[in-house]
Amino acid sequence: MTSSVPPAPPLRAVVAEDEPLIRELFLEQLAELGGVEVVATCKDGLEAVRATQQHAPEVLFLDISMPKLDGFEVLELLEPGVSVVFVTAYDQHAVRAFEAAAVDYLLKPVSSERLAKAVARVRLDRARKDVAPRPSSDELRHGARPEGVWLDRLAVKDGSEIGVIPVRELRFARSEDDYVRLGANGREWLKHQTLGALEASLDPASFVRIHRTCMVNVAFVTRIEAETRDRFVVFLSDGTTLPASRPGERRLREVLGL
Amino acid sequence: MPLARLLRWLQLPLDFWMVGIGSWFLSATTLVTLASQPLSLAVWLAVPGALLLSAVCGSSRYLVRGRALAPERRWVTLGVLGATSLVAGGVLSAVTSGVWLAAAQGPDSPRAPLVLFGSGAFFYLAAALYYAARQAENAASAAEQQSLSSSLRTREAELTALSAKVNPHFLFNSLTSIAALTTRDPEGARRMSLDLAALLRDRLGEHSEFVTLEHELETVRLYLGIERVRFAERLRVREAIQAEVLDLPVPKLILQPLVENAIKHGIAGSDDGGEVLVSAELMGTSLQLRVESPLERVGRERPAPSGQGQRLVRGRLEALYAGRASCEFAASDDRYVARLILPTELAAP
Repeated sequence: MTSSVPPAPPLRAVVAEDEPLIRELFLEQLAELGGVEVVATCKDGLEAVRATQQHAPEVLFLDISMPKLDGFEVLELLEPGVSVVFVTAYDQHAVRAFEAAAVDYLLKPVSSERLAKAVARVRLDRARKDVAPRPSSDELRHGARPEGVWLDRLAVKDGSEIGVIPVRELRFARSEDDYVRLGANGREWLKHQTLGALEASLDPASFVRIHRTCMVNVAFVTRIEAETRDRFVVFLSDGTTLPASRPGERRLREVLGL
Repeated sequence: MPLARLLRWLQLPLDFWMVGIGSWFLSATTLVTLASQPLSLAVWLAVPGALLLSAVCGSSRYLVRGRALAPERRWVTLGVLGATSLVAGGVLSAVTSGVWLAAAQGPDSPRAPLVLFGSGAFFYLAAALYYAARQAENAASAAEQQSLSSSLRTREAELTALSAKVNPHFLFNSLTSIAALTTRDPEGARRMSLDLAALLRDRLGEHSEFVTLEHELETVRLYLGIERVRFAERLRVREAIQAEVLDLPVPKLILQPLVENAIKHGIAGSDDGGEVLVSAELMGTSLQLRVESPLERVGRERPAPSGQGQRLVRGRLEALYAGRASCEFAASDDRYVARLILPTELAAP
């Protein structure tokens, strides 16, 4: 007689971990546990984003500190739909943030029992019809970053192309519906993020919100012109012009020391 | 100042001469103006008084010694000084008048002993106060020196403790690697746990300030050995150590923040990793230590290491060598170099 309950289909997983030994141990533990099919393993953040795009796994086991893109940057670039389990050795700032943003988080070394629990949680998460929207990666980053430390680069994606913009090269950011348009190095990127969240993670000494829809890197500002009493135009060194409101113009002058 | 050098050569304190010459000059002036003595005579008559006055005033130094003008004892001290200055004035007046009388010279004005008494007491009090103030100043500067050096020692101890702190990320990742090795390479797992134990024992133990460079390099090798298991072919280590520098003293764990930075920024953040070079050589009379690592700075605003390691090393060198050692951190296109220059002797000659 065979059991009348068909076995659950294996959970399709991508494992991203840069240290080879730790990666192998993790794969071994997943194999022992059973019920998880690892469709790809990645040794850096870039591979993790690509593999997740390519294989559309149900779960991504994601290490935080990895070359190229770290775990947070990977999370920012993921399409919704994959359940994320963070795996980290130690991250005092981030632990609280994981709780909000990921299905689960595991601390290395991971015991087999703990791993089994995480996999069970992922199954539960997948079974829920109304998948709760993942908290934005901005909230996560905000929680993970110590007070007074600003982002120094932004991970961006354009179709299948993934890029990293050093923040000092970012000229401006404008909001467009649910996205921000980022201008850097003579090209523009769209990123799924709110302008307010971006503003909160950038150094206010360099980036000024000059308009409800617009933020500028003061290093690139060449001049400011009044259009009417309440509307201003800000010129950047590459010829870009940006709108500024009256309070925005005042804030900009203040940061520029004018 | 040649005069000061001459007086020092005469083996007498400068104060003595100043008081002596000053009181001689004043006594002579007093004699000329108050007692209408001719100047030529006054100059000679003033000699015994001046000698006595400088001796008496000089002696106030011994009275003041050990009697600092501490607030709670200030009035007692001032009282004692006031009384002794009256005595000093009396002695001066009596002796000088006696000498003048015996020599049948000098002013016969009845005011002369009184003037002698007043100026003697005044000079004595002024000298005593001067000595007291100087002593208080010396004591204060000694106390300051003391507290400065003790705060430097505290700072040094704090910084050493920070250098010795085991990075939890490193610790947990190493334990995870050991767990991974147990099935596929039991021998490797044993070696790595022994190495980790040795490293922890070294870090958790007592911290002497200085060790030989050889000892310091052993510590670095232990650490890099463990990291090599973690990062496999991503981490290559090269050493260039001159044999004759191995016995030189270096601050314990001075290289630790530097190799940790090299791993964190040069290896852990990079896909292909690279080579970490540790070198030590004699440069004139100084020891030069260098840690070189690859520099991964794709998209990074600050190309290089967290300032924390740098501050740690800089602070310790300052606390231990007070300006006789230096450190330098430089980033080229793809390499990061940390360089320490230490004196080969612990104390200044």
